Amino acid sequence: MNMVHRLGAIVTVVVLAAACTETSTPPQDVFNRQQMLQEVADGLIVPAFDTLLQRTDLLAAAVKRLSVASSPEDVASAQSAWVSVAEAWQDARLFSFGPAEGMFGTLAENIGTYPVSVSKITARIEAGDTALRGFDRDAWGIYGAEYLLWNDPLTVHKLAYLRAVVAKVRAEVVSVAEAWRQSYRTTFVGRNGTDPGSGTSMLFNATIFSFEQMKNYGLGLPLGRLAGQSGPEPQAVEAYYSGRSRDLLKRHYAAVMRIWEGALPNGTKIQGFRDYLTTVANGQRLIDETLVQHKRVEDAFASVPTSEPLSDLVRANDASVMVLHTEVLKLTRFLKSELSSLLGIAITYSSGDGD
Amino acid sequence: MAISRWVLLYLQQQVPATALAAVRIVFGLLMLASCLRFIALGWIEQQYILPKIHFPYTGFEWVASLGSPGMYIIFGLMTVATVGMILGAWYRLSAIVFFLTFTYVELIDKTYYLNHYYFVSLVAFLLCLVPAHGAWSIDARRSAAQARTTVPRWTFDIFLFQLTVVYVYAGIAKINEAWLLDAMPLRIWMPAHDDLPVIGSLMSIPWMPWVFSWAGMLYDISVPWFLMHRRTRWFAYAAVVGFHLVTGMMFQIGVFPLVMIGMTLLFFIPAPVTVAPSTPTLRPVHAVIGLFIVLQLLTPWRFLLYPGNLYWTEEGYRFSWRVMLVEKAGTATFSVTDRRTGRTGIVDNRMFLNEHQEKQMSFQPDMILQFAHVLHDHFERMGMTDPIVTADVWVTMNGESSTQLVDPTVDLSREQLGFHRNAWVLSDE
Repeated sequence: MNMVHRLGAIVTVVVLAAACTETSTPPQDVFNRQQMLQEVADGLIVPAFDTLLQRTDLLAAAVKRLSVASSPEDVASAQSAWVSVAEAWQDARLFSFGPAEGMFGTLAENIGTYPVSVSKITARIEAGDTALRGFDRDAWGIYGAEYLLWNDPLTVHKLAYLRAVVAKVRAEVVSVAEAWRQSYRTTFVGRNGTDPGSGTSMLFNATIFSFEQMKNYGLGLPLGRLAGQSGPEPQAVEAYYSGRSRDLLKRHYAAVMRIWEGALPNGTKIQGFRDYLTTVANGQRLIDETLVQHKRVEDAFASVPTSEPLSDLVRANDASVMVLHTEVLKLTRFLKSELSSLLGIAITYSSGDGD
Repeated sequence: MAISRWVLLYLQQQVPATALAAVRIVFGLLMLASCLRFIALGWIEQQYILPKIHFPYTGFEWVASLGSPGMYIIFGLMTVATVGMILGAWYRLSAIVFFLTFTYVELIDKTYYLNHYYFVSLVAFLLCLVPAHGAWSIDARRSAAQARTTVPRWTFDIFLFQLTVVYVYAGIAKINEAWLLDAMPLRIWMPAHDDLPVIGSLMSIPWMPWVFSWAGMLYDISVPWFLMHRRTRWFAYAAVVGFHLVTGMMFQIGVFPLVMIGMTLLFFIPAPVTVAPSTPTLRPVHAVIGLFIVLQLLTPWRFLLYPGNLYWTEEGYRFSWRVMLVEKAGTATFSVTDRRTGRTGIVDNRMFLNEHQEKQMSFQPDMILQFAHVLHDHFERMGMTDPIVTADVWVTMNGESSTQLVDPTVDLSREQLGFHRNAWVLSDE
């Protein structure tokens, strides 16, 4: 019994120590997740959707001006309006949670599906369809509009379909942009824990998901490097018809790394996962390793020739694109498993018990 | 034969039937709450209906999800069985149905393995063997033959034994360098919970992980003994409640804290011992319980049969009360190569697995091998010739730099699943 009492006393002391420790002195190097969420919401997410909406409006106006008799200049101006939408999309596509997670799929699925199905688009145009019902996401969206804008000549039916496609994109974007400007920003910033459903966890998961989409479907699939493919599929690149693939891919990657780094598009520093890492055990080690691999990816991007569109490079089994894919693959573990492990972020979207 | 004499004397001892009835009621209520929670969260669909593949346990590969509506029916039966247990109505049948349905669900996919689910299966198994409906039950009211005033002491003690095994082995598992000296993985986990009410501010104090690590180890090892003694019982129970509330807030462990807070109440049940007038005869159930005890004591040590670092290879890891012991995460990239043409492709794991499955698979060798076999069969059906499957798997353990878990040159489609040592798992040195 004596032994039991002594052990009891030890446990009491330890438990009391754990329970009653002085709480008035806040620790020095605690990361402020709420600040990160605030800065990301106000500096990246809300502006990304607002810009996307503004540019979609400009595209809608440019498309409205088009007619079957339009000059090449008018078409070129609509095409350039499309390019700025596609560029804005690279900044917004990461945030596929909250308002972007609709009952009928995510915003990325609804407006960002590629490659598009030419046969489905043709069939709908021939049927004079402008209602765009159903789930043929590869018959519309941003990349559906791209196909139509780079596919002359313009016909009356084609124009009507194009306008419907752009209007549909706008309708999808406007609901997300408005939700962020109204109540969702507060919801997002308020969930400052690390559990599934927290702002940090959603931001992390969505960013990594987007990164993996870029890796697998921006590069892997066109290169013919996914299991089950029999060769390269050049038409599967993002923005095949406009030939903007390489540039958009790079923007997509830059958007992913801005979340990691904590930076606005203009370079202004905000709080990001990198800053979070500096406050946890082994964090600096991971920052250094991530930066080494990030540099390799950037170098690989720089080595991809700009003289030819990505689809042609892919068709020719260009070694520089293969290298880029490999380096992006190698970056995965630093961004995905190691980051979430060190920060204690729940990696699953849905909750589930762990032991 | 002192031991056999002791056993016979022990088997002759009786406790009130109400003590055992209390076990039945407490457990039944906890399980009813668990079932309803699981159903309400939509996890039947998420975990057992939507996934394209599952990860069954070695030896139980024949266990498959029934899909919809089969799985809903299973959970319906399970829930009804908990009510049967609580009321003591058709008790044996209820206990058996609960044990079978619950264990069946757990066997479908090791992705969702949790120590406390294993604990539930064990308790449910034990409840099938004991007359827990002897008192406070509809069965006893309906039939005098079922009613009892006393039950053999072992039928009650076996539950205390099971609880003690859980705690003590969980404590022993914490006696390792990483846990006690490096305060890992708590040093990673605690700061992530600095937003908790009341205790949040403790989480980011630099030395607090060491306090929690040591307190956790001492708590696990000692708490059953303190619960057994009358003078320390209330104090120990306060520790139980405190410990499980804190871990419940910190970690996503669902109903586990509630189950332990509920089940440790059993230590409070007065069970004065009387001695039955007649000498007991040994029955098969005694042999089953004997075997159960031996297996419970030995199973956690089976890892000693495997070389290498247990936490890294996970060979002999499960079913051993190693609870929240290591922080691991991995990134696994699989390549599939046509054996005839030599053409290689990379797999998008998410085409086959849900997030939870991918996360668990990415650092557990047996799941990696299972997934490799799935990929082999899938791509063979798609027209590839006997595909070679290799895996590039990088795992980080307790915040260290990732290292490769699997020999990336080994064709996993040729490796067999089983209890043998997996030679293709690389050492973490």
